This record gives sequence, structure tokens and C-alpha cells, in this order.
Amino acid sequence: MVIKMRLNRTLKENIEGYLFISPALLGVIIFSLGPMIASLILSFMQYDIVNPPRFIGTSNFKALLTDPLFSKALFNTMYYVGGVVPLRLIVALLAAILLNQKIKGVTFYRTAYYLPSVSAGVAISIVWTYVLDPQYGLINSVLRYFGIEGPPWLQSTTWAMPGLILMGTWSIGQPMVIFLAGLQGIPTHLYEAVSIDGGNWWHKFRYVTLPMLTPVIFFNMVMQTIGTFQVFTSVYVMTNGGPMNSTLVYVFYLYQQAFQWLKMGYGSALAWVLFLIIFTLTVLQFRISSLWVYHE
Amino acid sequence: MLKWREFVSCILIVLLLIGTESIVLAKTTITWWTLGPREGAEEIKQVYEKKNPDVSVEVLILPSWDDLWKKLMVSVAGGVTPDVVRGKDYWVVDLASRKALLPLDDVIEKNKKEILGMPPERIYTRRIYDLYTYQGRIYALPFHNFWPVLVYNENLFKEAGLRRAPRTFEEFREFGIKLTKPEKKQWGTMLYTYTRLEPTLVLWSFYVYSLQNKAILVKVAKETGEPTFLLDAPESVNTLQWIVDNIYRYKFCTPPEAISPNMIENEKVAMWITGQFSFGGYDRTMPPNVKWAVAPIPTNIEKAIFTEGNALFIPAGTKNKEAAIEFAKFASGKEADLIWSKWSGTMPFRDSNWAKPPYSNMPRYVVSANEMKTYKLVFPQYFPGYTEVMSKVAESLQAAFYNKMSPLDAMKKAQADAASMVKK
Repeated sequence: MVIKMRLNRTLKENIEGYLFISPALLGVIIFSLGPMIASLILSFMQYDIVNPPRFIGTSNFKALLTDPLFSKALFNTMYYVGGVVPLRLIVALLAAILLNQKIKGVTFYRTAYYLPSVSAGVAISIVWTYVLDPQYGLINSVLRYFGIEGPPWLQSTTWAMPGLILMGTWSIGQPMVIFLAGLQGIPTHLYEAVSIDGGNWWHKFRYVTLPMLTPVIFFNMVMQTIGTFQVFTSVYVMTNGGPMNSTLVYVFYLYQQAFQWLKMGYGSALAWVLFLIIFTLTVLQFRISSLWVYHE
Repeated sequence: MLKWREFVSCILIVLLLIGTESIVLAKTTITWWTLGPREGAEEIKQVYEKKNPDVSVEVLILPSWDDLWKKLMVSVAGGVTPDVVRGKDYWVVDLASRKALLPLDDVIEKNKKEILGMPPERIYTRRIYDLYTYQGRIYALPFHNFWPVLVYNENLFKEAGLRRAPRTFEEFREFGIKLTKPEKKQWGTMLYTYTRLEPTLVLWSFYVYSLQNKAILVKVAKETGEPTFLLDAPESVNTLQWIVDNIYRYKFCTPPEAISPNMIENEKVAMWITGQFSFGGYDRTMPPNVKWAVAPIPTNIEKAIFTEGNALFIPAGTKNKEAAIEFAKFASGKEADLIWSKWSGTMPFRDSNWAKPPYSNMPRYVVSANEMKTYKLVFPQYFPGYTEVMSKVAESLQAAFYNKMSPLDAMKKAQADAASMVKK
């Protein structure tokens, strides 16, 4: 009798709990989980939106293996990630260190550096199209002032991707804010200890700041890798994957296949392969983190 | 108290009357998806609604073709399609092959005189039968169209001592070299586009010239809609070689890496190929000191022109079939044509409207019309999957424009790619 009463109470509490989280749960099921399951099913189908889906087994996944643009898009994305993530983290860390000083107007500077992260991606991309203009753009104008003839950036198959990487590095707001929080969490007595031992700014940075920040660096690295792998807006607005597919990135290729060429099944297969790649990379990052991340 | 009751009664009566009016009029609402100019679309809507008080037209202006395509696909998937859509010419066959469009043969057959004109308007009629027909059935009516013309900067021509535009390929090269001034970063000409936006526009840069060499890029079987490619034929290869030589050997055509925004406005290019759709934009944005003029495109062994543009089609899922057909007929008619051309700055898509001012007396339009009348008219050949296949072909063209591949290798690759894609 007592057990039955306890079970009833437990059941009641469980139901109440689920009811409380049901709005969020429904949102996840309808807008995230549901579409994910649908896209997994579609990846085994041929579907052009207009006609009903047709089951074709693993043909979409087999097609990926022989698709030259798939490997091109993957390579370009790795190139972009390999360029943007380290650069962004370095610049964000340096900015966070600078903004961690007690100087007048620091709030304004923090806001200014964070602004790119909250600005519309399309607007930023349009502005950077002009910044990277070979003739009249800001970057080449500055280079010309120093007697250097700047590259043709977005018009060149060699320089288009570096141009996008440069633009990607500019948006440091989110990792910077996280680094700032991390910096402010480092106990000051550690810096005092270095000063007492006769260390300078470099010793403080090398032996206190960096090691204590490794968990934050790791977190930022994982998040930035996941986000950067999904780069799309800048490519869509600025280069459309060109010139000559030199900036064709994975998600843009997926978009082309699914929404321009109406190959929803193939696009879904691409999406799941991307998920597996990012998942694998993230697991790898976690595995090797024990070699360099310091936990107190 | 009494006054308050009277006031409330009046409000109720007015509301009742409005509701009754709606029921009595029983307005049919049709939706029309299009791109701008907004003023043109709105005026067409207003004129149509005035003539048809029982119909209300909801116009949705999309910002880009990509947006319209995506929205259309989502609407088809969701089963809630618009009633009339203005789309690219080459969408028609693609959508028709997927059974997404309403056939219009019967409509055209029953209203031949009204739709085609009496006598039938040459280009308008040919567009219907050459561009919008798939497996023997017609799926769209013509709207907005354009064809290539040569636009040139009169100031730069005058500076170079040139009194007129080039008429032949030889003159084009000769003039181009004279007009190129490396010290001023001024080029004789530039291609229509090199890389960006719609890859099929890269094709424009090649197709215009290929017609003058009698090149046929693709043949489409009328009954089946299946394409046969001839991209690696000598005429096509020679055309691409000619273009590439203009860039790298004779150095008067802007190489891709030297392209910059606003080169035309900044007078960094002396002549270029474009369509009449650019005229309105030039009127609005060209600096007043820049004097531009229009000439027929230079020719070679052939004197040929192509035309393409936009079509009005009705998705198969429309819930207002009859109303949609009537509106499409109107929007494709002479009156709507003049409204649209007025706002867009382009040529009317109805040949008979060319006789009206300003199309009959403004030089840019007169030259365009004469070009269309005197050149051999060749229509592009559309087939299902056209956009995807031609985007692939454009990649090979780009490789040649960028000097990464010889024209022969580029066209061989284009041929192989196109053939294998269609086979799949």
C-alpha cells in the first residue's frame, strides 16, 4: 500500500515535470529532432520536392564518393576552418587581454569589439566585398600606401579564400567575451607570485594566463570549429562559391544541391556526412584535450 | 445615454454593411509572385483590378531570383502555391518536366488572336513555341525579355578617335586595342560576367559571340525534351579561343582578376555587352558626365542574336485556375507590356509595341529593335536540369577565362560533364 502510494506520487511528479518542460520539448521535437529524422530518411531517397520521395537505398552516399565537388567542398571547408579558427582564437585572446585592463572607456571598447558578432551576416559580407575590392578597397588602399600592390582578393582563385578567412577572423566578439570571463576568473595571487619571483609580462602570460585559460581555449576551439565548419553567408553573398569553386564550401554546396538543383535526398546525405565529420572531430578534440588542458 | 446607443448602432450598421458588401462582391483573390520594379507590378495589378472588380490581385515582390525559386519550391512542397509566377525562361521546361505547371495549350488555342496578336507577333509567338514548350505542350506565356546589345562610352571612343561602334569581330579587336590604356587602368571591353551570381550568366559572356560563329551548343529533341550537346565542336572552341585571346594575347578585355565594381560608371571600360534590362539602371545610376550609346553587337561569319527573359506560368496546384489564366493573359498582354517596359526601362516584349514612343524614336530602343529585325533570331535550347548542367559548363568556361585551361580542354570537359549529367 505504501509502495503503491510512493509509486503514484513518483508517477505524478514525473508527469508534472514533463508537463513543465513540454513546451520546450515540443519545440525540440518539432523544430529540431523531427526535421533531423526526416532528413535522415530523405538521405536514402530521391526527392525533388515536386514529386513524392522514391527510395534508392544508399545511392546518395555512394554518389558522394565519386563526386569531385564533394571533395573540393570538403577541402575548401577544412582550409577555411584551419585558417579562421586559430587566427580568430589568437586575435580574440589578444583582444580580451587588452580589454581586461582597467582603462577609461573599456566598456565602449568591449561593445565595439563585440558588435560584429551581433551584426547581420549579409550586411557584413556586403561591406567586406568593398573592403576587399582590388582597386578601391580599404585593404589594398592601405597596402598601396606602403608601396605594396595588393592581391585581387575575391577575383582570384588563389586569394579569394584568404580574403574570406581574413573576414572570418574579424568577427571575434563571441570567443573574446568568453576569454574575458576566463581571464577575470584567474586568481590574482598567481600573478603576484610571478612578480615576487622576478617574472615579467611574458612569464605571467606563459606560465599563468595560458595554462589557466586552457579550459576556455578548449571550449572556444570546439565551439568555433563546429560553427566555422558551417560557414555559408559570406560565401553566398560574396563569391557564390567562385571563382572556379575556389571558395565552394560544404554547406554552400549542400544548399546548391538541395535548394537550387532540387536534390533533397543528396542534400540530406551531405548534411548527415557533415554531422559525422563534425562529431568525429569534436570527439577527437575531447580525446586529445587531456594532453594539454589544465584542470584544477 | 441615448446618444451613446445611437453611436453604437451606427457602428454596428456600418460593420454589417462592410461584411455584406464583401459577401455580395465575393471577390476572388489571386496571388502573383514576381521581382521588381515594384511600381510596374503595382500598376499592372491596379489596372487589372479596375477592369475586373471581382478580382483582387495580391502582389508579392521577391528581392532576388534565388529567393523566388526557393519560395516557389517550398510552396509546391507545402501544396500552397501562388496562382501566377513570373520566373526565368529556363525554369519553365524544368518545372514542366516535374509536372509542376499547368499546361496552357487549350487557353492559347481558344484565344489565339487575343494572345498571339493578329497577325501573330513574331518574337512573342516564337518564345511560346520555342522556349515554353515541353514534350509538345505549352506551359507559359511571355513576359519581360531582352537581348544583347553593345553599349559603349562615347567619351572614351571620342578620345581614341573612334566615331562609331565596331561592326565585326576584327573591328571589335582593333577598336578594343585602341581603347585600352593600361596607365589609366582603362580596358577596351569586359565580359558580361566572370564568376558571380548565376553561373548561367557566365554563359552569356560566351553565347553571344558563339552565335556569330554559327556555333550550336545544344540541340533538344522536341518530342522527348532530351538534349544533345555539341560543346566541343570547332565553332564553340574557336569562339572561346577568340575570347581568351582578347584577354591574354591582345590584352584589351579585362582579365577576371582586374575586375572591380562600377568599372562602367568609373569609365574604366569603353564597350561592353549587356541587355536592355540595364538601361533603366544606367538612367538612374550612371554619372551625368558618362555618355553611353547603344549599337548592334559585332558579328563574324553569322549575324545572329538570341533573346531570353521571363515567363508567366501557373503552378499546377493553383486553387484559382480560371482567374489565374485570365490574369496571366492580361499581364502578358499589350497594355501590361507597356506598363512594365515603362518602369523597367527595357524593350516591350510585344513586337507591336515597338511602334509606340519612346520605343519608336529613342536611339537605344530603335537600335535594339533594328538589331532584332535584321539579325537571325536563335533561341536558347532549354531542357530539364538546364540550370545545373549549364552551371557545370560555366565552370569550364571560367577555367578558360582564368587561363587555367586551354579553350579546347575546357570545351571538351564541358561536353563530357554535360553529357554525363544528363545521362544520370
